[in-house]
Amino acid sequence: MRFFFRTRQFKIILAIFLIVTITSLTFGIVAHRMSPFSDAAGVVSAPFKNAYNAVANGIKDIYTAYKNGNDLMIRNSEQEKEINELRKKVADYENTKNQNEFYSKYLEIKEKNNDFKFAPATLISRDKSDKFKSFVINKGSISGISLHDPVITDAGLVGYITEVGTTTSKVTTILSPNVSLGALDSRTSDSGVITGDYGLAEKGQCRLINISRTSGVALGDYIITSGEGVFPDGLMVGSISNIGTNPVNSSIYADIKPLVDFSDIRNVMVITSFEGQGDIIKEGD
Amino acid sequence: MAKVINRHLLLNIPVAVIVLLLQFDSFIFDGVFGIFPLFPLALTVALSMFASELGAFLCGTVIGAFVDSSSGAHFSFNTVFYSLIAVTVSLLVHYLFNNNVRACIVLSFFSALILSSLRFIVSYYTVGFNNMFKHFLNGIVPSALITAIAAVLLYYIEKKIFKASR
Repeated sequence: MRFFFRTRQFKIILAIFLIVTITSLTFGIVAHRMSPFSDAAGVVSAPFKNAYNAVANGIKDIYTAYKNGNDLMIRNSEQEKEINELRKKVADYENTKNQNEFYSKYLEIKEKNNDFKFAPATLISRDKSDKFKSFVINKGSISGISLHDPVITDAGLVGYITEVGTTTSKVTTILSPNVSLGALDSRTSDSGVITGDYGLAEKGQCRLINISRTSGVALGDYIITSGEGVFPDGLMVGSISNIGTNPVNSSIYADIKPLVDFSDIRNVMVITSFEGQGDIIKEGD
Repeated sequence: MAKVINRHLLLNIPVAVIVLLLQFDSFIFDGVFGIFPLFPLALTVALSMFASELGAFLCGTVIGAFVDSSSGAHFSFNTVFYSLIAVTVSLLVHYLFNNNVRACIVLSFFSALILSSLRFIVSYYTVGFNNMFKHFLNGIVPSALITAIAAVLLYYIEKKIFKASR
C-alpha cells in the first residue's frame, strides 16, 4: 500500500480531491452557494427529476384515487383547505380579540402581504436518510431565489433556503435543530424561539423554547412567526401539542405540531421578497 | 484517464440512475420501518471493489456530487466523503481484503456508520444537539445495517457488470 502513495495516480487523486474540497468550502462558507460540482449535477439532473416527479406523482394520484375513491380524495382535499382557512381565521380572531400592540402590527403586516413576492416551486428530491425532512426544490438563483428566503405552503411555514444553486435550492425545515426562529403565541402574544429536536422530528414536530414562566400559553394555541430573524411576521407555524418546563433555566417550552405535513409536500411557495427582509442580517454585518 | 473511465464504469450509469432514484424518491421505496439505507454509498463501495483507485475515486466524486445535489447536506459533504470512501475501499480490497461479498458487507456497514456519524456531527452536533447516542442507536446503526444488506445485491450486480465488461 505504501507504494501507492508514491504513484502518479495518487498525486492525481490528491490534486482533484484538494480542488474539490477547497472549491466546495469556498463556495459554501464564503458565497453560501452550492459547490460547482453539486450545482452542475443538479443542473444536469433537474429536468429528469422534474419529468420523473410529474410521472411518479401522476401514478401516485391514480393509485390513491383507486385505493380511496376519487370523490373522497377531492372532498378530503377541499376539507383540508377549509380547515387550514378556519385555522387561519381562528388565529386572526384570537389576535383581533387581544387588542394589543402586536394586534395592530400583525394586521398592518397582513395588509402589507401584497408586498410579498412569491416564487412557486416543486419538490424534486428528498433526503430520506435525513430525519429533519430537508428537501430540494426545482428553483434556484435564476428564478430569483436567494439564501434564507422563507418557504411556505398554503397550510403554513415549511422552512427556509439554506443553499442556492443555479436551478435548484436546498430547503431546511423547521424540524431541524439548526433552525432558530422567533415565534409568538397568537392568543397570548407570548414569545419564544422555535427549534428542532431529534425526538420530536421523528413525530414531525418542533419545539418553542424560552417562553416566559409567567406566560399563559395553552394546549391548542396557534403559533405564528414574530418577524425576528429571516422570516416575516404572521406566518402560521402550528399548534401547541404539549407544554413542559426546562429544568435548567425554569423557562417553559411547548411542543408544536406544524400545520404542514412534511412527508407529503409537493409544491411550495418561496417568499423571495418582503418588507424588512435582510434587516437583521445587515444589522449583524 | 481513458483507461480509467472504461466500459466497466460506463456500464454502471444505468445502475447509478436507478440507485439515485431509489434513494431520493418516496414513491418507489419508502424505507424499512422508517429506516432508509444509503443506496448510493452501497453502490460506491461495491463499484470501488472492482475499480482501480483512480476510477473508484472519480466514481465516488460523481456519485457524491449527485447525492449532494439532491440531499440536504452542505459544503459538498457527500462529494468529499464519497470520494474518500471509494479510494479507501479500493485500496483495502487491493492490498488487505479478499474481494468477496463478506468484505463488501463489512466495508459497506462501516462506511455507512462513519459517513452518517460524520454527517450528523458536522450538521447537527456542532449546533448543540445532544441526542447523539439515541440517534446513533435508533438511526445510524439500523441504516448502516440495511445499507450493508443492500450492498450484497449491488456487489453481485457489480460482479456481473465487471465480468461483462472484460
